[in-house]
Formats: sequence, C-alpha cells, structure tokens
Amino acid sequence: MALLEVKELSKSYGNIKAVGGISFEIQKGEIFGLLGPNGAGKTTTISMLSCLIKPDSGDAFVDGCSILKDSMEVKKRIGVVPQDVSLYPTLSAQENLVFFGEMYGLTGSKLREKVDDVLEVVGLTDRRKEAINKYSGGMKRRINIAVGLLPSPKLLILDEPTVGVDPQSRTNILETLKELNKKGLTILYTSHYMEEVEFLCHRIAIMDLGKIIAIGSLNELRLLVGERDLLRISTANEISKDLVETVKKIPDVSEARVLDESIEILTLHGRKLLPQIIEIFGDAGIKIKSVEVKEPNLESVFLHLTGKELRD
Amino acid sequence: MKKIFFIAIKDLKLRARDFYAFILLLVMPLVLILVLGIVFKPMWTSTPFVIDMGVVDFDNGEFSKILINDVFDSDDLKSMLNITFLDSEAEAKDRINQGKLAAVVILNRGFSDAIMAGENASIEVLADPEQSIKSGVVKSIVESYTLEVLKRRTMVETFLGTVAPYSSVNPQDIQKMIPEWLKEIENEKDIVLVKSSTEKKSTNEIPAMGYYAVGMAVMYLLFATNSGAETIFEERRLKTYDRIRTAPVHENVLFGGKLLGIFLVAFVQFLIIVIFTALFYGVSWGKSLSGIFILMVSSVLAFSGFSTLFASIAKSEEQIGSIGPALSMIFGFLGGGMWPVFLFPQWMNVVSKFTPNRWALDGFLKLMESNANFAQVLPQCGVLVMMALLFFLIGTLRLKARGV
Repeated sequence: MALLEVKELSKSYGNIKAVGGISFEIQKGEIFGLLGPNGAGKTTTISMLSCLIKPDSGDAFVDGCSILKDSMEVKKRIGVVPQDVSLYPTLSAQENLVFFGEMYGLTGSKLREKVDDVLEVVGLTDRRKEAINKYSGGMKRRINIAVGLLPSPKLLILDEPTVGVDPQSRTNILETLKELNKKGLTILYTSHYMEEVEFLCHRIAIMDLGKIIAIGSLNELRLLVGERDLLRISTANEISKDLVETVKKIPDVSEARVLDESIEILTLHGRKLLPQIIEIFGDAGIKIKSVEVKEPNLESVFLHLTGKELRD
Repeated sequence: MKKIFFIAIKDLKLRARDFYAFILLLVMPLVLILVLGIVFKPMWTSTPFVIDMGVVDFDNGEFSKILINDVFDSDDLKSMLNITFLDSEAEAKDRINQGKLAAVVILNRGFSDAIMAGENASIEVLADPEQSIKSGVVKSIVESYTLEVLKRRTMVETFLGTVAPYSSVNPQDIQKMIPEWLKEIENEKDIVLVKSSTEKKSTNEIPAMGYYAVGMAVMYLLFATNSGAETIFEERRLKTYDRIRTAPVHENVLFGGKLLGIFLVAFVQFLIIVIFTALFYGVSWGKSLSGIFILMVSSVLAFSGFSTLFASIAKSEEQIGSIGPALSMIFGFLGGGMWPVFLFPQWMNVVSKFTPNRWALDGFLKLMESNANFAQVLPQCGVLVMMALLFFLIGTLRLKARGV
C-alpha cells in the first residue's frame, strides 16, 4: 500500500486554478520529487497535504488517513518543513525544538532525547544554545528541517528547503536527507532546482500551471525526450525571431527558444547537427561565443513538455 | 490543555527576551511612577483645596455662632476654609470683585431670632463667578446647614402642634428646651457637604507615589496586553502560526494559548510593578493580599479582552504598534492614571467609568486608602470581569471570522 495517495486534488483562488485535479502516489521508503517552476502549484499542494488549507475537491490519504476527515491523525504522521524558516528568532535552537516538540505532544525525557537526536542529525548539537537570529542562513534551514523530524514522521514533506542557501549548506542538507531516507524515511520533496531533484529523488512528478504533466523515475522522464540533446549556443549578437524559426525548420529539431543572449535547441543527434546550425548563424551574421551540448535531463524534459524553461 | 500552557509560556519567554518590550513594559512605567510621584508630591501632601471666604455677621446670635464656630470651624472644614471676618456688605463685594475671596456669607440681623420665633430667616451668599467651584462648596455648606436647621424646626413645630397639647409636660418647659434641641446641630454629622469634603480628604491620604503606582501600572497594562495581541500577527509574519498548525494542535488550543499568553505577559508585568513599587518606592498596596490578587486578575482580564478586541479590529501588527500606545494613553488619562480623578469635572467622571482603567484604579485606591478587604473590591472586580467577557466574546468571534 502506498504511504501517500493523492486523488484528484484541486484548489482555486478566485478564478485562478492553483492546483487542478492532481493524482499521484508515494510508496514507503521513496523520495518523491515535485518539480516545477514558481507558481506551478507545488506549495498549494504541500499546504493541502499538511492540512493547512482545505482542497476544493479530491482527497489525499497518509497511511490510510484522509486529510479531510482525519486531519489530526494525518498531522501525527507527517513532518513538515516549510519554504520559509518558521522559527522564533530570539529563542535558541534548543528552545525552538523543545517548543515544537511539545506541540507534537512530546514531553519529559522523550522530548529531550528527540531534541538531542534531531540536533545530531542536522549537525548542530554544539550550537544548540545559540539564538536562531545568530545563525547563518544554512544553519537556520537545518534547524527548520530538524523541527520537521521531531515527530518521527512516516512522511517528511519538504517545500523548497534549500531556497537561499549557500552551495555547501545545500549539499549538506541533501546528504542529510539521503541518509534519513536510507534509514527508511519516506520523503516528499518539492523544488524548482532540477539538480536537487535529479540527485535526490527516486521518482519525480513535473508540475506546471497546477497540473502534473509527467511522472516517473528520472530515466523514464528522460525517455520522454528520447535521444534528444540540448544545445545551448551563446552569441555576441541579438538573435532574431526569424533565425529561431529557421532553426526550428531543421529536421530533427523539436524545440528552439531564445534565452537572453543564447539559444536553446532540443534536437536529435545534436553533435551531428551542430555544423549546420553554426553555418546558419554565420549566414545571419551572428557571432557565436560558446556552444554546449547537454545530455537529456529534467531541464530538457520540461522544455520538451512545456516549451518553457524551468526557472521561468 | 497542556499545549495551551506551552504556547503561553513560549510567548512569555519571547517577551522576556525582547529588550524593547522590557523598556516599554517595565522601565517606562517604573520611571514614570517615580517622576510623577516626586513631581506631584506637594499636591498630595499640602492642603490641595483651600477656600478663601468671608463672613459678615450682622446677627451675632446663637445660630450665627453655631454656623461660624461649630460648622465652618469644625475639625473637618477648618483646614479647607480660610475665613476673613468683614464689617459690611460693601467690603464683601469689594473683596469678591478683587478676586480675593471666593464667597462671602452674610448673616442678616435678626437671623437667629427669626429661627427661634419660627419666622423666615435667610443667609445671603455672595460668590465670585470666576471661582465657581470654591464658591459652590461654600454655598453647599450653607445650604446643608440651613436644611438641617429647617429639618429640626419642622420637627419642633410638628411636636408643638400635635403632641404637646396632649402631653403632661408643661408647655413652658417645652419652650425652654427648643433652643437646646436646635443647638445640637453642631453635633450633626450627616451634613452632606461635610461628608463629601471628608471623602476628598481621605483620598488625599494616599501619597502621590501610591496614586501614580496604581495609575501607571493600570495604564501600562494595556501596553502589555497590546504587545501580546501583536504576537498574533507576529506569528503569522514569522510563519510559526502555520508551523504550529501543521502539528496536531487544534485551532482552539492555539487560540487559547495565545490568549493565555496575553494574560500571562500582562500579569507578570503588573506583579513586577506591584512588588517593585512596594519594595523600592514604599507604596502600600493595601493589606488584603487576596483583594490585590483578585483585582489584579480582573484588571488583567479586562485589558486582555480589550486587546483581543483591538487585534480583531486592527489589520496588521504595525497598526497595533502605532494605534495601541495612543489608545493606552487616552485610556490612561480618562481612567485617572495621569490626573487625579477627584479633580475631574462631572462629565469626565462619567466618561471615565467606561474605561477599565477607572474601575481598576477605584478598586486599588479603595484597597490602599481604607485597607478594604477582598469583598469590598468585588464590585470593581465584577465590572472588570464583565468588561473582559464582553471584549473577549466580540474579539474572539471577530478573529475567528477573519481566520486569524
């Protein structure tokens, strides 16, 4: 049985459909990624699964408990790490953890042990007595995760937990999550950083405009693009619309779009096609600064499926 | 239920760590109590209300003497009335025109004889319109006196007309006793004005430091409860409100915790001010510990309720932060925290009763001045608790409707 079952979940704000009838499942022990650009509906989905907002329709079940009918039971089974650092700045890490532990019903020695455990997991035991407002951004994020681990959740839900974090802290957070998963923790991870999702997740759902447009393992998603490569050509001059249309007409080119002073081309046999493309640019008087050929990744999958870049 | 307590304790801890809150909620009121207590000390310790008045005694009879020696010069009034004896009405008018006297009492010739004979007798009071309060006091004293004389004369006349004709007592003996009965007026303690002046005097027995300790402690309660109400919005800004909601915590528990937090912050602040002023400023808060406690709880409840209502009306943390202090000052002034209530004009006395400050102040002053006990401050506590219930009810309903 799946640990999380999401069935036709929908949420609208006025005329805007934030989430439009999404369904997916997460198996026990899995790290499931929800990938999509800002505004795709990831946070709204997470908020519904955390019982913070009620869906307009549909339901979701955590370990068999409905988010609509058994929200208190759902809350006992999940740990939530919100996008923002949701901590009391003037309280120490330990005081924050003790307080949120109390909110999960922990008291006495159980609470103390749990606080020690989670501090150990995020590697901040020696800084436990310092106030949160004295912490670096990365350290705050780690305590933010530690709070999510307090209830010993069956499912840990993380909403873009690395936003604004330095690369070193980001790596640390991702490694920590991998370790926790190895110990059996099921994780729902949302991000708009495809590298993180590629690194971490067993299965990925790609969201755009409130809908899941693709779902599967990284390899399964790559197959959606086929053997296509992603060519990124940086130029010294502005690229005209006519040039983009010319490139699109080349056989085997499935998508082409301009990004600042570069063009991204999704094509079969990218390396073979490169001389022809360079010639077209030369004829148009465009000076090429650099050329990059990328293997299919989530970026190219997203581009292939939506015609947009993930960071749009 | 434990979670309500944990939330409240957390709020108390957060306030304790907030340096700005420490300055605002503790240092400021303690400094103000000290400053106001010292500055206004003379107003409390010297005679605050002396009336310069004159007397023209054309009568020189028994009843004039009673009024002058036994009423004006009574223990209760002599410290308040500064009497100058004048020879003529012209002189009296002259002194009043110069503003030297607030009022002059003219006892016309034959005043006492007229009373004894049961005829019309009158006392004239000349008043300076620019000193209307003082002259009003003199007029009231005289009115009370004449009323008392009238009361006794009616009593005597009734006796003579109804009982005496059938009595075995000799009518001539009765006639001899009448002046004695009438003379006992000086012993009459029910004269209204004498009574009211007594009240005023006893209020003055509370030192300025004591009065302002109560006034400021009560006024700053609203600062404390408002700062507590601000945390409802602060939790939203910090997103900790949603974080608590992701834990198995019922909405009502979260809300109850916030309200208890508001109460605790204000109660601890009040308690510190009471203890500090008692230890270091020598303020006596009364002898009834249970009275002090119940009044503190009622006051804090009323202000907590008010702040909940305020938070339900305010749109943001900033709005509470900017409007809240102004509201506290207005309530503080109206409630007698800054200016003694006994100097309030009548209309302000009425308005003042609509603020929790006034009821709290009245209760504490009662404990201080007359060492009242627990039961004697129950009326004030009752009003404060009623206010608290009303404010909490409206505030909570509004906050819930807003989804806060």
